[in-house]
Amino acid sequence: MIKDITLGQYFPGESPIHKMDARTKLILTLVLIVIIFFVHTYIGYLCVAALLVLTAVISKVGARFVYNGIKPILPIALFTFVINLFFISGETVIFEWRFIKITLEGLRQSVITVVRLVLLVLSSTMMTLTTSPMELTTALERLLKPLSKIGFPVHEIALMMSIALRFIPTLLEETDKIMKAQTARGADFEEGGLIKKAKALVPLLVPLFVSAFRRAYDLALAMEARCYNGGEGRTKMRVSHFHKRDLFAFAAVGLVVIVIALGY
Amino acid sequence: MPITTEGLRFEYAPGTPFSHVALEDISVTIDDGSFTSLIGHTGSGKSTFIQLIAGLIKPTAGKIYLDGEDINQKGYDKKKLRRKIGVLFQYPEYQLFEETVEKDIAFGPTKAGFTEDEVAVKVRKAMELVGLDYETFREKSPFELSGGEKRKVAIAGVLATDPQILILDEPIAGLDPIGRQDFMEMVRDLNRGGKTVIMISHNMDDLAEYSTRVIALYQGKVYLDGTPNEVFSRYGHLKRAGLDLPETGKVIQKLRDRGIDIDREIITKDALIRELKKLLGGKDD
Repeated sequence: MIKDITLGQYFPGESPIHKMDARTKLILTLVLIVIIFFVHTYIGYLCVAALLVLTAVISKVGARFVYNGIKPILPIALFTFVINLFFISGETVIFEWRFIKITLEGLRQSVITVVRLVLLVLSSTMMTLTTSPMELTTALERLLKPLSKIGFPVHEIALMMSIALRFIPTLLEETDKIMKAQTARGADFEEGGLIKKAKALVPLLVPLFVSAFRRAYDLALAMEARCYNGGEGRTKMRVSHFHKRDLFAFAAVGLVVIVIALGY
Repeated sequence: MPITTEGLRFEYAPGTPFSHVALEDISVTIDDGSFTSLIGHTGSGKSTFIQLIAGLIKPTAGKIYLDGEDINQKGYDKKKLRRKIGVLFQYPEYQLFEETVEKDIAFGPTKAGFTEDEVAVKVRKAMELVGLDYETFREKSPFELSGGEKRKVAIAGVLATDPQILILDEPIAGLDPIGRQDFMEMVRDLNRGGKTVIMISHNMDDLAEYSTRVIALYQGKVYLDGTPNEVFSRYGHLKRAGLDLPETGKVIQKLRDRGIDIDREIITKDALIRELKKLLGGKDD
């Protein structure tokens, strides 16, 4: 069923990781993603991995959800692994059969690439698992605030993002409803070739667009009726602040950065 | 063609932390030509039930038979099912998509495999049935019509296939009183003409007036099942399931509270008026 698709993968919780300021999580995730590209020693990878595992344990999200987060990239990881394994040449040959040649350097490089990919996705997964999309947009808005000085529409973009996120489940539900109604009238969304399938989507897409425009119009009216007039002077109902736990997080990531910077 | 369900069970998102049993162990038979009403509090499983018997979702366990054939068995012709069962959802006007009213109404019968001539006849008939003038409306875009007219087009779109079984999921929500009465009378006429009607509604008065059978669902199970008189006279049960009484029931309850002995099985307005006249007449003498 279409409704079962959960967008974003926020896993509600009360852990210190969840309670952390979303700005901290956003910045630290970016830092981690950048430094993963600079790591070139096993100890470095170990440090980053340990940090992420620690985060996962503290967040109490559960291994299954973390695994679900990285599952989509596993095929890509496997593909890169195989490609690297066969095409990176080196000196120490460990396996040779006809034209297939596997070298120790190739093997090492392939493993490193996979580890890198997994760590990259894992760090962003940990952020999205513990931060609700709304917190994330708010954090983004506050971090980008300085840009509004040079005329960048920070507030508008953040508002658009949160509205879009808010309406994704609504539209999915709507799609499900219309799909069922048209199926009951005899529409078939599964049979036929590509062109037939695309044509079959018309009875679904037209009502969906009509309702999306109607919703947008209603929302705009409702916002104006409640005196919305842009970001100027608008305050937030819940303002998050930096706490001690944010300091700890910065310190932990900082430590890892130093270790890597020192060349380990 | 009766619909029979056996041990029907439906679970949303099974095997995940969000799983939720919507229906459990539903075994009912809905007879041909009956007017069956489904009542129940929000989340009682009414909508899930009709989607199951319309073959729009598959049960987690249990069987659904239409004419003795399991509709979820391999090789069952879903097209046949769609021709036999018409489903009208809440706010059906949101399913309109074609350029003209005529084309939109023709969508169902065309998909059901009728010839062009047959479709044209059916569209015309369906429009007459819902009270839309064929010549005035056929070339109009469904999006330029008023809310009430859109609703009529959508209803015609479902009726055009001429289904033997009509499933109605709160079809009168958002209609004005006159529109509601027109609609209910149309449904009653279709039912009298031999069609099986299965209807979900929160309007107990309509249901008391028109149904031949009422099934109350509560927490995914059949809670009450019987004639409208039987079901709507069980005030205590209805209250426990979070259900409203028909207006007549409310009046009768107040009268009984004051010690006036009046039959609880009176559920229609006309019957109540007759009874009250009799009671009052008796006192006057």
